[in-house]
Amino acid sequence: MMNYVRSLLYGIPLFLVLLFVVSLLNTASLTVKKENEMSLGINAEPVTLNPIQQSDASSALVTGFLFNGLLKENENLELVGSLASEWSLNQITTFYFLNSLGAERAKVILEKEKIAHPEWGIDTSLTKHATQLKLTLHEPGYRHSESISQSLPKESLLPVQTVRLQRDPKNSNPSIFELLLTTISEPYFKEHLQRTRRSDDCEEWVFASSFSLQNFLEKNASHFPLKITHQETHLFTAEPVINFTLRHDVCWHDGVPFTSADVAFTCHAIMDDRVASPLRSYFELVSKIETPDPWHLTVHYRHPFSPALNSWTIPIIPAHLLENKDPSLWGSSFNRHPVGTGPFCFEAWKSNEYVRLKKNNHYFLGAPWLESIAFRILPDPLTLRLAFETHQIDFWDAAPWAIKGCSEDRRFEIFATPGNSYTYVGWNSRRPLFADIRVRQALAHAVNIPEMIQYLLYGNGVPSTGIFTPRMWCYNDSIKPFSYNPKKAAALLDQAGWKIGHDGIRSRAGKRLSFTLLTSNGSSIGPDIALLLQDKFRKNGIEMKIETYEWTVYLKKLQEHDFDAVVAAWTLPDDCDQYDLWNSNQYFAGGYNYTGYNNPHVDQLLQEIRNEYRRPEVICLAKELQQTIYQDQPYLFLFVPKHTSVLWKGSYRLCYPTDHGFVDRPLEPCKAGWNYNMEWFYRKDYPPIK
Amino acid sequence: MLSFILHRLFLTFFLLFVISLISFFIVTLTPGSPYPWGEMNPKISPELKEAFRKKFHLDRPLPVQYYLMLHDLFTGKLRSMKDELPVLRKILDRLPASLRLNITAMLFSLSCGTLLGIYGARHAGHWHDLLSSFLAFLLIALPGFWISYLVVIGLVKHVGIPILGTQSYGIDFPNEFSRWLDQTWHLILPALILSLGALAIQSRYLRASIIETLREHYILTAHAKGLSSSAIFYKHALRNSLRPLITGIGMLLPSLISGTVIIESIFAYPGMGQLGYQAVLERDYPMLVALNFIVAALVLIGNFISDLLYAVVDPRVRLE
Repeated sequence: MMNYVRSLLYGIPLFLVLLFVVSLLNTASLTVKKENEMSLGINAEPVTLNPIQQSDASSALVTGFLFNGLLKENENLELVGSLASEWSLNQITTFYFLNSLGAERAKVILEKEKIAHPEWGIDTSLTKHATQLKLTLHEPGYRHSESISQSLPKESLLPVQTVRLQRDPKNSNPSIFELLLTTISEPYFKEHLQRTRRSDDCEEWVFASSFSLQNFLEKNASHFPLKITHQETHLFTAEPVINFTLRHDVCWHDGVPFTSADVAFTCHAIMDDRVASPLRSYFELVSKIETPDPWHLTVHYRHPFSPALNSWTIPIIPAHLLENKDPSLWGSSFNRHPVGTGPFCFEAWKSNEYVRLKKNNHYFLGAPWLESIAFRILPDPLTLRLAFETHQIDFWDAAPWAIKGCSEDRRFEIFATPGNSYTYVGWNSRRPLFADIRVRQALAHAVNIPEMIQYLLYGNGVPSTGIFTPRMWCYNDSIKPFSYNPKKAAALLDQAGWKIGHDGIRSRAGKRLSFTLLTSNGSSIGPDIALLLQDKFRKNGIEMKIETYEWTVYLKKLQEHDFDAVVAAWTLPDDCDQYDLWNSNQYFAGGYNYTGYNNPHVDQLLQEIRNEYRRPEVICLAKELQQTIYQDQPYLFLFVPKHTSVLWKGSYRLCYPTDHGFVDRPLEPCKAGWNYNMEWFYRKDYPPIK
Repeated sequence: MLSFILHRLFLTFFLLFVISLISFFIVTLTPGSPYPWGEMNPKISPELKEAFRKKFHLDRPLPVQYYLMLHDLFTGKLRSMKDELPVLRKILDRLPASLRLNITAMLFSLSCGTLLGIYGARHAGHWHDLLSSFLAFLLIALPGFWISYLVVIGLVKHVGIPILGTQSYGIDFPNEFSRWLDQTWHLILPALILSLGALAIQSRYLRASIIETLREHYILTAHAKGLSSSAIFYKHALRNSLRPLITGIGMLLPSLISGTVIIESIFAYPGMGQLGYQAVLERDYPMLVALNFIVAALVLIGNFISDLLYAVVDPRVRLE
């Protein structure tokens, strides 16, 4: 018995050690086969490979190779066609009249005015339906429609009102909306009414009538506990229309041809509640999609909204595979085994280890040069770096402290460009301390941002000059950042009445210049920024206390506006629509203008940017917006961290098709990034055969 | 015996229910919401958030949510909030790998820990004992993740042997045995590093217990009767000092499951530890409740097994 025990005791570890040695020798003897494959490292497993349901970076990276959108951005971030070979914009403007006679008279007037004003871009046809007059304009937006409305007789023209009605949540009677409609049943009211349910408590109505809903509700507030949260009045409805012509030579990875039915399906799927797509807000303004034939698509919008054009870069999903399937079944089928139109096809996904794609020989721009792409899932940052240094992955996103070592290594090539996020300190402008602009500007002069970049980012960042980052096409590069000037800061504070007291801290009328900065321990850099700021402020007689909270508690305090100052960062999408961040009506609980910024001129600029479709004009407006907000300093804009990628020098080159043939060049940074057109990369030892 | 088993089964079910109740309320009442798109994303409309809440019953009162979640769990319909895949399927995908890792680690730590403890106890007071103690404390003090990093850097960078993942990537295996060996290699090294801390602790428990047993009177009697020292040791002393070891086994299972998060992420070895960690960060309530349930069940089973082993090892223990 004891021999049995002894042999077991010694036997098990011996066996394990033997297994260890044998398996080690086996693995050491294996050789990796050299392949024409690009390997990318990702630090989390993709959640889903369905592009309209994903919201994490890993999934987006993979689906970028599998799917195409109707449009895409080129090297200079301009929109060009991808699945769409051409597109054009126009607009249907409709005027509403009291009676048919008014409409008839207006039509006669406009037929004459049309010739005198060719810049309005009215298309030949002016159609009259009963009491409505419809025009087709070549250019979307409000300006031409407004000039046209000036030339029409005011008495017969009905104002078109868009109101958003919020129900008082304490009143639980849901039939109140129906009651309101029947009480005000004017015939033209019913005819021109468009009603959108936004949530259980909120509805949006568009109607043409001179009736003032606001007055009515105010007078009958006790019967109808509704309030208007948003109101807009124009003398017409303007419905922009985008017409797409699709390519004829596109097929899905399973061979089925791509048609406009797929695009229509994608849009409807995005708006479907069961799909729960995060892209939904991009398509909420779409009123109608028409597919006259398999290669033409017309999209109608409810009112001008220029960021909508950018939304057509979203990937299109196949109708033939998904339309008859309940969305709750997508998760285990299509989402794990996607089929797209892109340059690479899905091959395999080994859970939490790798995802592999293989090249699509029938890609409509030609087959790519790489045979396959592998995404290795490596959650730990150090193992990512190791995998890069041992050629297991080809690119590595370096953390700031590692960059110096890499830049000195001549085997590596580094691309560092300012990213699309900026870090800032938000001042709660509804608190009296920060209401004075001189105080805010003094605080900006009191900090040394280049020094902060040096210490915290090891030099890998640029000072932020406002709400846009250098990468964006609307960026204003002529704004100079506030200089580090403690004397000027002191002068401004003295001017504002804050004099240095006996304890070294400024005070005014008995109140000390002291506030609390909120930061989160979930952010690696927030607490460090807070410490550097505290030091600089104290030298200028400003006392700043620091409070660190857990991430979710920190967010809760932000949303409830329970803070003096907060360190945070925004990550920006590629478009320049920042209405949700800066408009004064976005200051509710949970709204993104949580610092309470209120500038009517800025509100107007934000709305104009949304209305303006011509890019040069948008750039002018955006530059003015950036300048205005930067001078106002609702935030202390700190820095824009650089995004740094490291690769083995000369390992890859880029060869992509253009209208004038192929362009073959080494990798270099451009406005869209060094990894623009990554699907057209090729390895040095597998050159492209054109 | 039968009544003991029935009694324990009843207790286990009751405990599981209480554990699931407590874990559900802790998880749902913690601040933070389970939306997969992040809190501060201006592109997410309130309608989308509302649709999400309706889909996962988040607009119902908490006790109703608890009942619905348990109901879905037992009918297998429970879906993760992150990607709507069935939760049980996700867990079962990872469970075999996790179990393999933990069981190998447990085998190693038990056997080597016992050996180390015996080595120290037999030569108590001499330099062998000092060596064994030193080794044990060294292994307790050195953090597992630090050793993992050193090993990974050494192997991958300097020696050039792949270690990440469950299998070496991009290799055409000559035969199935070679593939199996490769998978074993990827399993054995993390298991070894995982076992180091537990190994040392086991050895200390055992050593103390053996030394105490060796002081008993019957050991002296056995010496007087002329039995060889190795016979005394293995036949009498060892068997009677196994009790702390078995307690250790009972506590080993939960600590191994939770201790794997870091090692799993360093070795990119897909296991349940990482699944749980991600679920906590993302507030994936169904996944957390299901994981808590399964881990609690495993722990209770482990305790049950160790109680049975007490009866095997110590004839004085009567199960009733």
